[in-house]
Amino acid sequence: MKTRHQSLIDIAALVFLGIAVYLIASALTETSGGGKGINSSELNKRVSYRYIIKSVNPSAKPEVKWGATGYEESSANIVTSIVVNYRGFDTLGEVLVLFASSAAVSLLIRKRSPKKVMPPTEIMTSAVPVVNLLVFILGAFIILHGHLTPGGGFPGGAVIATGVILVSLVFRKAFRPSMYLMLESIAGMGILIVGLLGMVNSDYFLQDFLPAGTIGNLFSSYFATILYVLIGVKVAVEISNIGFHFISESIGEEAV
Amino acid sequence: MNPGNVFLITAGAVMTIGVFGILTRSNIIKILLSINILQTGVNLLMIALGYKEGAAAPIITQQVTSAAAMVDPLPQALVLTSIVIAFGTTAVGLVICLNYFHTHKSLEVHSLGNEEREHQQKEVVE
Repeated sequence: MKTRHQSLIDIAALVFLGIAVYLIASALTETSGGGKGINSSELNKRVSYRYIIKSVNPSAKPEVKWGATGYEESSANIVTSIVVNYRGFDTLGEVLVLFASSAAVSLLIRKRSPKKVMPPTEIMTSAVPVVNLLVFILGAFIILHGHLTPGGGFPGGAVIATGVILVSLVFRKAFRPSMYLMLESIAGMGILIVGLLGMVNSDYFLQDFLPAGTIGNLFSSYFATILYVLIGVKVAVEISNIGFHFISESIGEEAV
Repeated sequence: MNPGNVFLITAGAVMTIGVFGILTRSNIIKILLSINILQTGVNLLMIALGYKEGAAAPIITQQVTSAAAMVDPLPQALVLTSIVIAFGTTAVGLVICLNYFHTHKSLEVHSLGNEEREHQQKEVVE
């Protein structure tokens, strides 16, 4: 639909395009050493250097050996150690944002008049249990190996949520809402309790208070594993909650 | 050409496509898709700023032991947050879109602001 504002909108789009191209070009030609990421030559000045060597001590060794002990914390995956240990408060906020969006979906969604729904076919009913077993195993593997391999609570939770949504598409009454809400509350409270335990046992909220193990072992980074399991449960519950609300939006049908 | 620059240029192109889509489309679903494309471009830009040529993923293994041998892990941790928040905003946006369709019977943004007139017309008819 053409309106009289269309030409103005096109001009604004071109202006934004020009600004974006300028920003990218200036980022490319930036050569000052500072903290500019791609161009900074001095590793020691980056914040992430301290995350990698797992110490703020100036005399710390610049290398972290596989299979060594005695560091602040011992996850081999540096991204996990940043997300869960060093910037744990950030992750708490992230989980809260996800919870807020899940709550907003269940608050805003409106029931509409019931429509005719095609029942699940034979292929779905026979394949979903087998596929789901593999999906749940993969999700649990991703969550539990978050400190060793790429992955963690968020991807693993999303994988488990796809399995849960598949089950609820085929077997409509497979999940009870009370059980689901309880799981979500337990996971959410668990994150806060772990944070408060860090405050009691050490100095700060969400500080790592459990002993660090050997880098590279499955049972090494206990704090990261506990927090990632809780985050995984919470993410799985919230994403599948959003999915349930989109699936069962006709009148008279309970979400979940 | 340095691969890092290729990442930066691609990120700029994807962001431009997103901004262009937000400004020129009038279908709400397409605007939401454009916002997602813009977010993907921003994520790629952040990852590209931490890129280093020939470096490994930021996971300590028997070969990769020092900060010099791996890419910058901090942007990757921030992008993890960004992806989750993009998911949340998209879900809320889709629900608002659904409600908009129920009230306006249309997904065009140009029908926004016509509620008053439609309401008056309905009253006149009644």
